[in-house]
Amino acid sequence: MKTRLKELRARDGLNQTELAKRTKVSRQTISLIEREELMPSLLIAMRLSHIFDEPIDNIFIFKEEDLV
Amino acid sequence: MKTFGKFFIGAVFGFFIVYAFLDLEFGVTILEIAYELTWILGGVSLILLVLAMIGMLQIKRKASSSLEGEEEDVRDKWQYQKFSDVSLAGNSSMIFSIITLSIVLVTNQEILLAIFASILVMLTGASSFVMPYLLKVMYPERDLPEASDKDYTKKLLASSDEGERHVMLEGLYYTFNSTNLLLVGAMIILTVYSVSSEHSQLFAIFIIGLILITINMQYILKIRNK
Repeated sequence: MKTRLKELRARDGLNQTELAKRTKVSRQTISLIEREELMPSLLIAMRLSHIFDEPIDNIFIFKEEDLV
Repeated sequence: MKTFGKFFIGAVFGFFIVYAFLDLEFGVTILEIAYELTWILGGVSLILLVLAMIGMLQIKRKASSSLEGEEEDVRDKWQYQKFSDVSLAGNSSMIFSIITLSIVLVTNQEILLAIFASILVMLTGASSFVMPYLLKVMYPERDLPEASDKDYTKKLLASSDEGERHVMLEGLYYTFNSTNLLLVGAMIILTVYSVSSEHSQLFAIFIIGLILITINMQYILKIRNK
């Protein structure tokens, strides 16, 4: 899974700590997701989608083979 | 098969190394250097305690400054790492102080040393109660349990998010495996020491064995009943 979290965060001028507060998680969690070391739960993905006003599959990009 | 091969080679090497050590005779036993050890370990414990306290003050000072943007992230990362360092220093300090007190009591040393070691154990023990307070200073917006709360550990785990649990799981699983290995190693070392120094460590070996059985049972029962 690839993620555009860092790019979207830069677009909206948010630092990790601010995004973490808005997503109601720790900064470590945001950092892990950005480094693609953690696949977030659906709830966190939905919150991120809401914050960036982007569909989930525009934030998290899966390869075709991951989905079949 | 590859794992079995490694295990077999390890066992053969281990057997010969232990066999060679059994022939050695320890010139100096712990009892003969107990006084020096008391000062060295007590000193190490004190230094670690001071370092932990300095770290706590640094965290408290930095937490009160209001930052924005990248600086806020840098501060959070620094705080997180510093908190880990302080925890390690504090815990190590407590362990060293307990060892120091044990040596003093077992070897019947001066009463002043016993008092010094007891105070050290109390101070290091008290420092561990500061950690939950420190977490609250670092993360004032989070709903973290009080140190005095019943089931503090359970509540702290419940208040952790998925990323923190992911990191903890990795760390704890690695630690669990290495604890098993290290304790078995400790039993071997104690056996070698017992034979070579003619000071029986059977009681310690027995206790370590009990600890090994307990932690493995706890782990298996915890995952088995889910």
